[in-house]
Amino acid sequence: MEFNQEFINCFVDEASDSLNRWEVLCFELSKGAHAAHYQELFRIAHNLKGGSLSVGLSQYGDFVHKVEDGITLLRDEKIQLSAQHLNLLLNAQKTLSQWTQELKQNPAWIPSDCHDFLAMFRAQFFSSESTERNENLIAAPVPQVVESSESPKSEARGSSPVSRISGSETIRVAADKLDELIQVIGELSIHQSIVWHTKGSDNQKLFLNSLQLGQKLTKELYDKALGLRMQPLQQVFQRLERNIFDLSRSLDKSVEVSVSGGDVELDKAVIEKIIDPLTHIVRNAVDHGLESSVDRQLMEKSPTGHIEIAARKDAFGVEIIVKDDGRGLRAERIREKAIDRGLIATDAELSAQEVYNLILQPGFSTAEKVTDVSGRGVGLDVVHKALQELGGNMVIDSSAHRGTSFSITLPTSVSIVEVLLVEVGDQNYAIPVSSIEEVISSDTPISPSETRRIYGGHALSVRDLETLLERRKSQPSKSQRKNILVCTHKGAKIGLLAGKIIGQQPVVIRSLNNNIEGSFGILGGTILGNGEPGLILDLKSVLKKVHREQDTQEKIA
Amino acid sequence: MTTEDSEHRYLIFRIGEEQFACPLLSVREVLEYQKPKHMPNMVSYFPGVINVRGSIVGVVDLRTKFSAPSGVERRTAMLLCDTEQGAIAAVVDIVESVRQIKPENIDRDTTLISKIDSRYLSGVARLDNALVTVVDLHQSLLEDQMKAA
Repeated sequence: MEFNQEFINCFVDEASDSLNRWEVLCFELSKGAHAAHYQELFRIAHNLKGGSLSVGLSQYGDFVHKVEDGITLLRDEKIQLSAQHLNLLLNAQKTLSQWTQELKQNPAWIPSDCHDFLAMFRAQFFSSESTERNENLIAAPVPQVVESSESPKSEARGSSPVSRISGSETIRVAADKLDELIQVIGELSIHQSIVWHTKGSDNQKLFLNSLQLGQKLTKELYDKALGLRMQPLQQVFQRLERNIFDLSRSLDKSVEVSVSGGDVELDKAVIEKIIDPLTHIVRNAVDHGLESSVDRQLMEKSPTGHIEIAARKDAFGVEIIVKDDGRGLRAERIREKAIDRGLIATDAELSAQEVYNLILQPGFSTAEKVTDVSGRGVGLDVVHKALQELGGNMVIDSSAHRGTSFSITLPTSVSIVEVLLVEVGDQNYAIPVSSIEEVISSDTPISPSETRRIYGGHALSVRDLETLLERRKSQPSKSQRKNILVCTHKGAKIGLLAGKIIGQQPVVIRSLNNNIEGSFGILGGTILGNGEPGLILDLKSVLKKVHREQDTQEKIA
Repeated sequence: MTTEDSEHRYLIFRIGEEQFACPLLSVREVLEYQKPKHMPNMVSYFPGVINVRGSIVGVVDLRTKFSAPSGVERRTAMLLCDTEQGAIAAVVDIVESVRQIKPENIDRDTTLISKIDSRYLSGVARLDNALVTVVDLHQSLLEDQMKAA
């Protein structure tokens, strides 16, 4: 059959939205059945059927049609919703989601287990219609269904979905965002005519005003255009919820999920990259964090475990919290294990926080048994690394029997940073504002060899930034050092001597080519206002080096 | 012009007193010299980076690398090359011309010549009764680590 890929792509977009809603509705149903939910579910299935048939996907339409029959029964209250029904509805959604994704590459794609699934689906829905048989009888074939539809899926989950998303070049943008953008562009064209009118006039004030307006509009335009890349976290959270849902069933744990902050937005690139790390954390929480219902009751806790997923936005970026009320991390066991693995010395004195951070080390897993779900020893270190690559960070907090929380901070956008332009030697460098705590200005020049300075009643150890960067130069340049950039590294404050502060501005990070990427102390490049290339300094790596040097010096001493 | 012709076309440039040739197709464009922005801790022949229409490109001073003096004059130019590791701009003294050099006029024996590392050389060509050193530009730009650290 001839397929029109353009129509199909249109359908795929639409269907993905519908299937998302389908999933949400299933979650709602699991919390309590409601006639309105069946109505909507039916409508979704119906639309999917119509949509797929209209672009020539008859097999797809057929599949949905049969599932729709089942939903009709539920809607008309011919049968009562059971856990098995819900499972099948979710599995149908899963199969359809995969199917929908495959359509992008191959319109003729059909899931291999499609017929088996439908047979199972019919057996389940229609047999319980005719006779209200006892659940055990029906339950028997169900686990098979779950597995048969899941096993090909789990392969796919491993690699393809994420890469596929990043491979597609389209982005869905809310219509109102586009409207706002168009409005600013409208203002910009009005502004242009204002500028045109000031041409040749001697009115300095008019000129300055229009200049100012232009600056404001450009900034606004820039913000709005960037906003187009921002996507709500809702889609990620929904996937997590689905994961918890599926996992809690297969582990037979009772889990309640609360989600908040789904409307918080992150750059599309960031969203795509945090799905896997977050999934890992959430699966960990369900598998290792939460105890079984029996154990929970022994601890006098509610038999239902609770997982909280929340996001909120602050001045620095976005914070995502995954919190469970499970058994908590066992600091002693982590310690033992770390000593066992030679990660720390037997007599190392570590704060609770430092102990928790040990689980982020490669090859660390305290799970007693290796399950399908987690505990293969590749784990949180990969998560941690992925987050660091995004410029994010993770803090673990835990208390015994009360639960564990993972708090992840991420920059809203990977491509834009607010920087301070600073003169270092005879060069200007851009330094991310987020890495500088404060700037101390001195009226008199500071000697580059100065190592200590009293500030705010404390001794601050001071290093010359130029000397740190230019290790090959024997003589530091004669340019005056008048500012101290105060930064914190591993809890200790260090002052870095620098020259004039030129200004603060947001810059777009441009990647450097392979040949120069990853040079010491350089985070990336940017094009400055005057068209010159600028280098963005990575104070973290500079400070790390200071730290290492100090350590070796102390050892020598 | 057939592709075969363009394969035999070479860009002739000068470093110090010596004439060099490189395959024309290995150069994306010739840029006017712009002062590179210094990058800390790079080897001496890596003076820094430049802005080429919004992208940041590393610069290799071929003159330093070929042990010639590296002053900047009116005719100093940069050859922008798309190498395997991204774009690099090579600084040369003068870009002279584009010429056809027939394969039979290139002597591939590289043991004879010059102070330049033989890995960068592909041969010597006769051109207007003068000898021109034919270099593999990409090879000479990529050959070693630029990071000193």
